[in-house]
Amino acid sequence: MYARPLYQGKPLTFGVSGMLWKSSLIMFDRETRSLWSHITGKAVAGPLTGMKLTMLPAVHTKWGLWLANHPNTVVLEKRGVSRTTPHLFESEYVLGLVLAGEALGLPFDQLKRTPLAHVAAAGRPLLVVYIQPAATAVAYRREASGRTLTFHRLTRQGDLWYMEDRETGSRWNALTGEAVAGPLAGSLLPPLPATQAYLSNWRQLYPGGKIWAAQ
Amino acid sequence: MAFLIALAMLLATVPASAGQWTVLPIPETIEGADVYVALPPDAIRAIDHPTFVKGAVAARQMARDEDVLGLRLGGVARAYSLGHLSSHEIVNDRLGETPVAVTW
Repeated sequence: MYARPLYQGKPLTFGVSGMLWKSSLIMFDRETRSLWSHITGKAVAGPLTGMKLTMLPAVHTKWGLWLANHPNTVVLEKRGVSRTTPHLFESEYVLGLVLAGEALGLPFDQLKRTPLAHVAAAGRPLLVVYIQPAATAVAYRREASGRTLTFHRLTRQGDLWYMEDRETGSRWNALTGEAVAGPLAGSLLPPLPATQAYLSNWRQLYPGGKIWAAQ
Repeated sequence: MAFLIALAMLLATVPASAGQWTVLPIPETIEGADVYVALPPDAIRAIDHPTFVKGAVAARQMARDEDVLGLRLGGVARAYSLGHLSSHEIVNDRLGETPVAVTW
């Protein structure tokens, strides 16, 4: 999920080029016909080559979980052809982060063992939450009110998941990053843009990137 | 790879009239890696004018365990079914002031 940059005062619009590169989709923009990788968000051919799209912190999750955590959400209306999502091999997924040019891939089969993963990329302390029943991984900066936090006690209440920070004992919604009770109530962990991809594909696109392993 | 599988599923269903004869330059390689042409441009049509239904009343089109891509931006929350996205691959959308491209 990316912000669409302005070109001559109007946002670029993207289409499907029909080309594949490194096993992934190539998009094109209708305004300049540059080609873009949908996984890295980088223009790889055409007039805008080298330009990079700003990634937005979208979450790949299940509808039930999303709706419970965002009761006011709307959902794209289905028109025409639709199908059920092919259930692929979730254990081969990776949550991919890129911070200050540094790529870090967190494989789901590793996150399964450490559902609250405290990691660092580009010198920043991060938290990746993994909700196993929904195969959902979300990344945050673990900083709030000027302090660095560490988390434990991931618990479930129906479709809502909570965690606590050790420093203040505040309770946080693990899927939205909002503190719901305790001294930090009302604070928000800054969400981090991330890509969900296949590990093999991620490695192709970021050959020099680090792959995280649980302790 | 998800895209490849979705593509294979689509090959049989795309009507011949779907393309609008967009012509794109086709590089043989990019950064040393081969480029493959699987379909003509726009054979898979991006959604340019998305419409939405309220989540609370979406039960008729959404299953609870359906994969979605969700985004909350400036107090607005939107979800996009991945099953539905696989027929279009891209949604050119706007959340508040921010134009966004939904891709997966």
